[in-house]
Amino acid sequence: MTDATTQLALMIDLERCTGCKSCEAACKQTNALGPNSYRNRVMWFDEQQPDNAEPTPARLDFLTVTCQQCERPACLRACPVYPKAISKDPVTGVVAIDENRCTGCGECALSCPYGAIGYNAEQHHAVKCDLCAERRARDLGPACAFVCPTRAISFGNRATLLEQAQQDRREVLDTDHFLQQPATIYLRRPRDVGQAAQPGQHRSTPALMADHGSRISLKSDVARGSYRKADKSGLDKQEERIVPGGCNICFNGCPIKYHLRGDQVVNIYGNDEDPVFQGRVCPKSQMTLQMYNNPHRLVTPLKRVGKRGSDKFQEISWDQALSEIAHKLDAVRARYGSEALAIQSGSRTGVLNIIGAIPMFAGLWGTANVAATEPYCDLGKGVALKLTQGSGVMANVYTQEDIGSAEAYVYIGDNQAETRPVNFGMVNDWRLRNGAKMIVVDPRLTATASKADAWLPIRSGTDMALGLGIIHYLFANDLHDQAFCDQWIVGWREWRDFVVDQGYDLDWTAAVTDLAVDQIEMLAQTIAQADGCMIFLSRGINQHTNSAQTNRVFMFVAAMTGNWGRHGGGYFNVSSEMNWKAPRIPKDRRPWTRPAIGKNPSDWIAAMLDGEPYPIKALITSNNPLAQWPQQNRVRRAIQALDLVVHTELFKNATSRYADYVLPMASGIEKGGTTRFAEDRRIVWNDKLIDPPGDAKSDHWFWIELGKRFGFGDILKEDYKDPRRLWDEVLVAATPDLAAATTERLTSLPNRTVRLPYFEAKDGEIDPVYVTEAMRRDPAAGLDYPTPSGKLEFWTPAQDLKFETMGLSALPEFYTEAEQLVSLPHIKYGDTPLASSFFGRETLVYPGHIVTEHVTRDAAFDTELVTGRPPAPHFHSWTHYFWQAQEMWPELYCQIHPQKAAAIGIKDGDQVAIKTANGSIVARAWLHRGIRPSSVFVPIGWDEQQPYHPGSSVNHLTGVRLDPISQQANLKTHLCRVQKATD
Amino acid sequence: MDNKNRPDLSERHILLLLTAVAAAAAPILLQPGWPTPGSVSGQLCAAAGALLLLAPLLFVVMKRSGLSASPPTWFIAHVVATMLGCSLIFVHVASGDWLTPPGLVLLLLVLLIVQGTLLRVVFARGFSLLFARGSLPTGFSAPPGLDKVALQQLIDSKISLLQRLDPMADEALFSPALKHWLRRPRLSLRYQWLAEREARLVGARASASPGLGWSRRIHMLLAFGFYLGLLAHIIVVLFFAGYAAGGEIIDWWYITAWGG
Repeated sequence: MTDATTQLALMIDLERCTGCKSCEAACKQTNALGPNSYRNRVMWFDEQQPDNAEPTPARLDFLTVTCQQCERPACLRACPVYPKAISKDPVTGVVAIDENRCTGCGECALSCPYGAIGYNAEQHHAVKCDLCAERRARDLGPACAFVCPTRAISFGNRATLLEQAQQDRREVLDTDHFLQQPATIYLRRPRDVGQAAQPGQHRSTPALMADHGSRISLKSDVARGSYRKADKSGLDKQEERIVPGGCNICFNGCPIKYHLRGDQVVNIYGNDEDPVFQGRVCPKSQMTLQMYNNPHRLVTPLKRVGKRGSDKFQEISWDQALSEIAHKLDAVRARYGSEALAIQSGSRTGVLNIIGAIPMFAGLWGTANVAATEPYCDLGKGVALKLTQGSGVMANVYTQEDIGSAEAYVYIGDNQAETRPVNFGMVNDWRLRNGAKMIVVDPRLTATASKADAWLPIRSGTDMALGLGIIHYLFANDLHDQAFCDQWIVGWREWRDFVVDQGYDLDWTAAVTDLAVDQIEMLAQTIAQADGCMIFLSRGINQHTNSAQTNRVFMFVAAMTGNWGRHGGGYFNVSSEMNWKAPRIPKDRRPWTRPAIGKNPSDWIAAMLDGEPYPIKALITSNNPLAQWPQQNRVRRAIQALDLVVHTELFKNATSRYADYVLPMASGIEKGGTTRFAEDRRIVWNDKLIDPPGDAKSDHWFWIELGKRFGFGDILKEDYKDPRRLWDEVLVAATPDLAAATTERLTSLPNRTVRLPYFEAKDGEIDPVYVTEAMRRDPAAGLDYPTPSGKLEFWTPAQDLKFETMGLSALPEFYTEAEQLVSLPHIKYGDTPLASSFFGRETLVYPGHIVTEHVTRDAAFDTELVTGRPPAPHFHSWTHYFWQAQEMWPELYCQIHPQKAAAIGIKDGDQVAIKTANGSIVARAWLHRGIRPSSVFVPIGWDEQQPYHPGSSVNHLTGVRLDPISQQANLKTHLCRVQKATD
Repeated sequence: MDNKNRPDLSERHILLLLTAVAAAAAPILLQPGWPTPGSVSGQLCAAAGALLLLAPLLFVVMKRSGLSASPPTWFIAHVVATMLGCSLIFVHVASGDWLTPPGLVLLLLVLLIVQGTLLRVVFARGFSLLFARGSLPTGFSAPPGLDKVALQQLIDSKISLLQRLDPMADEALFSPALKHWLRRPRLSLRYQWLAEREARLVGARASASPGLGWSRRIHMLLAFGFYLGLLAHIIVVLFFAGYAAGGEIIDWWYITAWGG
């Protein structure tokens, strides 16, 4: 019997686990495991989710299967080798396998009743968790516990862990059904305490996840470097260097540590020296290992030799590619004008280019048709914030004193658990520690909603009505913060009177949102009564034609309850917007240009197809417009009509097929630069640490080289190929908020991270927008918000004029999408574009006004189509080239309620066809009780060119309708028809 | 634990070996003119082949006795020796009559090779899929119908029996090794029986398909049958040559004389 004082164990908290699979990613990169070899695996957990009990709320529970380090290990007894290939350490109780003695008979895997013995089918031996013996030998704990974004996994002495559980009044899940005395501790979800355990008689794991056939394409040869023992052993002979940096995939910018040996990056873990994230990191950051050593990377410039879409290319040199592109651009400019060039960039391109090299090139060239991904992500929020607060910067940050001190967390259209696992892990931890309340409003029961006290399954696109109903209720019941309203809000009375006049009461709200009156009342009371309520919004709010207005409505909800400019309460919508300034270009070098065609690339389509309002004939783009832009069928026709398409990317994707030139790009530590600007205003610096594969180049190298061919070299200098110089001499020089965030400062910090604004190094980081709180403490400080009035502005005559120009009002008149199952007010667009009143640069957009007329729709389109991010291991196209992300989530899916599925004869795992007025796609059905019965959900990110599980982009189904205010596109709500796919 | 020195026979190598055996067998079996089984060369092939076919037995001994530091090396030896041995046996039987009892023994050998190859090359992936039972972590919920009292009684019986079988051993970590089978076969058999009952009770092998779950046992059973057949064949040929010849000429007279 192992001594209780020395026995080691993992403790896994089911309340904290969100199923992000970061532990799986850590395990495989640490222990050199390839496809289908597991030491741990996150699975759906049936114990608490009996599907037959209909009154039971839908659940989405996860459990990490790993070795139980049993006192009576069945695996060990089953091993036929003598002495055993499996042993149990008498001191720590760790059960380990000696792979050098294992003959691969599989008896251990067959005997373990927990299914916790893995098997390497390529090298024919068993694998199992030994609590990362090699890391423990270096005084490091198991990798899974180290990275876990939610701190669901703890490691330590078993007795101590049990004491901790007892102190926290947590119930340990009884897993000793087989009298093997498992050591691994699972903590039940608190709400389940006292319930009888339900036998797992019903499958709740979706068939597409249980289907091994979908992973057949993952052959062992994809496991390279850190994922193959032979490679890893070779690399281990070289000395290890550890360099801090940040993950460049998404807008979280997680601080990480790169472990390098020789010229290769061998491991990527969270940076434990970062005081905020403390080493927590999501699976994507770790899987960028598979980006740096990936057989699918583009390595040579390609020139199209077949017709567009034929995927026929020839390899050419960079010099040839750049010269030919320059020649063709000259021709386009000569015939159509310089504005006929449009440029799109995105998260892959990186901040150095989005804010630095590309605006410089575009400014020198003379085109305003430049866009990043904001019009599809969060432009509505950005416009609304600037209108209201005068700045896109959000105050609150992820610290115990700030977001950690809230008494309530409300998520509306924000699945934070899967889109920002680390941030959610912290919030969920604070919720549990402080007993804070959490409410989630979403058409789906997401991983976030599954942790909440209440899930409100709202009709997609009607969140604005919910906010208006809350405002009405709070005023009617005198639950607003009168002092705050008087002191800090301009126009609150106008809003109050308007909301009352329009009759946006709870009954109206319930009818529009399809929520119950008491649910809305409970939400309103929670927000008003909490001493600090964080209201998180995201793409579920932003990706609508009412984006800016809905954001303003919830800003008002936050402000009227005093949740603004203070710690522990606020409006939040990923990400924060820096007050970026354009790079400096001498006036005499800026050619006159016609106004920009819209703010959203979808506005470019008419210019590409019909030359309206003027032609766009060339496109230089990164990322994947042919998956990302809505109304794909039309987009593809538009791209076909162009004279020149240049695609700069890491991998060939759907867009590459239609490009004339496909140029291989570098990423992350292959080129250097910063991460995206994270929601809590942090930015992380990466040095260039390794060479890109083949002839791949950094994006800024491309823009500088292309610029040289037009004589821009004196402004877009050769020196800027050094990312440090580009940052310091262009971006920092132009933007006062970056004044002290020089690379010298960034690289001197152990986490390479600063929080912006960062004006002067001597002052350190500052909290610029806790205005309300600061003024409460010191009224003489004279602080205010950067608006004309110094207050939060919701209605002013000047604002109203701006809105009126676009056909709307600064008052919050409700509207939603035209495509709804019920008739609701929506936008009718004008025929003539005019200069938007909301953008600094002249931008042509279509105004619109609200109409209530009934929309005649095809009766066959009887289902609400909701789109959004897939689970945590995926992010847009990037991760579809990482084999492990494919192992975690392989196929394109369609979540559908079992009732609806039964009504149309669809079984879990069936292929279903989803059709809208814009197009159709096929996906696998995932029957899920956690979705509105009238809705289906299809995730973004798949395209037909991906190597493992190609699928059609969901944007074949979406149409183009833009918010007249912000130009944000509706990607979230369409009507569709779902039926079983026929062969 | 680092396994960089662990020897392994890759799927490619196994298939190459199998292909080589098949390629060698084809002309042997299809072309006439090979020596008779009883001829000197035929008997030499038989003897060498039989010796090679003892390698699997040696593998079992080395794996279960503690005499080998690297059981995987002996696994490879058993595969390679079996393939080579089989090739020699093909030479031995090339011009013989297949539809006889020794032909059945040869069929068992071929079955063993085919099943072993399939197990390693195709079905081994099935072991990977057993992790987390592929889809449901069923072991974490109380399995319906599991009799914990009966399970405890079984464990108690094992503990009690172990006092006689190996008093120093810990039931939690014990299963009978070769030394136990040699020294105390009856107690070992009883203990193994209890262990099998416990395994059935907790659902071992139940998560795997029968083909995967029982494949190793089937392999061992086939091997046992093969060795019995081989032994019988040798005894009959040596001591009952007339019966073996079935009225034909005994062309292995030099061995029978030695045997007689």
